[in-house]
Amino acid sequence: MTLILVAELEGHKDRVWQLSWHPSGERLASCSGDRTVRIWAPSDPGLLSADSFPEKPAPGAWKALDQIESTHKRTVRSVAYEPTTGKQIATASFDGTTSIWEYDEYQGYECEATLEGHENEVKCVSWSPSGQLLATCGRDKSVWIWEAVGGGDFDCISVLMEHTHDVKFVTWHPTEEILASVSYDNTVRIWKEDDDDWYCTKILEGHTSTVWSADFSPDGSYLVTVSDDLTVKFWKAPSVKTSSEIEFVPDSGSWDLAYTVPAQAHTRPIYSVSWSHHASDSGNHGLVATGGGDNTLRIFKTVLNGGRDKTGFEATLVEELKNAHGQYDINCVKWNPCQKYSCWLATAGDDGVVRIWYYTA
Amino acid sequence: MSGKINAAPQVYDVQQTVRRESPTDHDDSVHDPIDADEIYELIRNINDPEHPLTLEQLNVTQRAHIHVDDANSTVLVEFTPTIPHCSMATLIGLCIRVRLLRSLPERFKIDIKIAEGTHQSEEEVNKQLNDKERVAAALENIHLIEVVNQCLSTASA
Repeated sequence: MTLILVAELEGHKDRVWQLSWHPSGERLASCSGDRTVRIWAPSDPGLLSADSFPEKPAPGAWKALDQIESTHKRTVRSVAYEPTTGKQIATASFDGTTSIWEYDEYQGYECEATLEGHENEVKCVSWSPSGQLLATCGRDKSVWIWEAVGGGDFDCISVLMEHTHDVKFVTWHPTEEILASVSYDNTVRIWKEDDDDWYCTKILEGHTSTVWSADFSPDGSYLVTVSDDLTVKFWKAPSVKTSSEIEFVPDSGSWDLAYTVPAQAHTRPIYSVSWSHHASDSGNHGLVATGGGDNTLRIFKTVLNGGRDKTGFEATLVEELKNAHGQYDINCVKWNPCQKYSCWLATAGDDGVVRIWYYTA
Repeated sequence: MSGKINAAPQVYDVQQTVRRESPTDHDDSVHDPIDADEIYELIRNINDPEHPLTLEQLNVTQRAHIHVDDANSTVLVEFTPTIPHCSMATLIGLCIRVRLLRSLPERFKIDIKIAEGTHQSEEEVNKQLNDKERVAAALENIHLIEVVNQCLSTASA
């Protein structure tokens, strides 16, 4: 198995915090402490479908396409493409605001709306798969849910105040209107709507320090979380198994811990996790990438019916690349969301660089 | 009354230690590892936020509480607040971190911790001081960074 570095994208003048792929899988947005968002794309779109790659990154393989000289007054901590058309980009900043940007052929990116309400740093923004809901979270311990009301504007429909410390990250379930939030309070919370009321259906406890990030498996049957406690945890969605398909029944039970990658895998806090969109069959459940403060990029293969008794869920390390961003922390890892481009991985680091990788199993 | 958290701290004697020079110090072909002495020199003269005294004079920093692994690029600095309920502990830790961030090569991973058993909110303070996101946000806070800079103004004297 090989991980090939295809491009090194330089331009940000400070650490890069987060990445978001365009839903077409053919563009990538990055946000940084330099208060800007940059958009990157392969110079030749055919590159993405190519099946052979140079040993070394080809100069000019990817290029800077655009830039949002954001009006944010502080670090842009989070960036998210609208997932249905990719026409809009949401940004969340330490300045306490979340902005919605829409691309105009002539004007470039223009700010359509600024969502205010958080008392201080907004740490993450996430778009629901339908593009109709937006979740934000921040230092003020709250999670806000916003609804698109047309014209690029959003109304706040709920403020969830149950975390006891800053909320680091939020992410939506791929098929249900279910939100996961992770926090400095060491917990993961699962939120759901009931008759216009959002409530916490489950608190996932087990991490012993800050939970930094989370990602659902593409079919939504598992959630993976990564933490300052150096572990990677997999949680199984409440489900009943029918013949060959997994039927998702959110209220049928709890989100149980399915597997823990022990602390030895990473030696410093794990900041980011991403579940790949590789086609998965009944056994193979896809790849999970992690990155963090120990400068190391890791890829785990996940399988159902693994483990000693062949009944459980298991994740095994299949790739470990030290110093993926040199001597710098890795802040974000993100698999391409399109199945046809599922071998593409993007990473961002404290070195201010975005790297594009191709992974062949 | 002064309203200070610790109005009358004990002041310790300062050793006029100068880092001993090694014969290879000026030889660029020899890898010159960062050691505890060097780190100590960087932080001993940081000013306490409350008193016109250095962290060394207040025994907040001690050479024995600095652990450096140059080969693995890690630094751990433990510090001892003057009193177990010192509300300045987080600020002092932040000052130490900023001083090291500005002085050490970027390859170093820096951990700042309270010496075990010397503060009642030890775990909380440690968590905050080592959360890179909170530190990044703190460094963008103009008022806070002014206070930090003031504490650091004596450090390189």
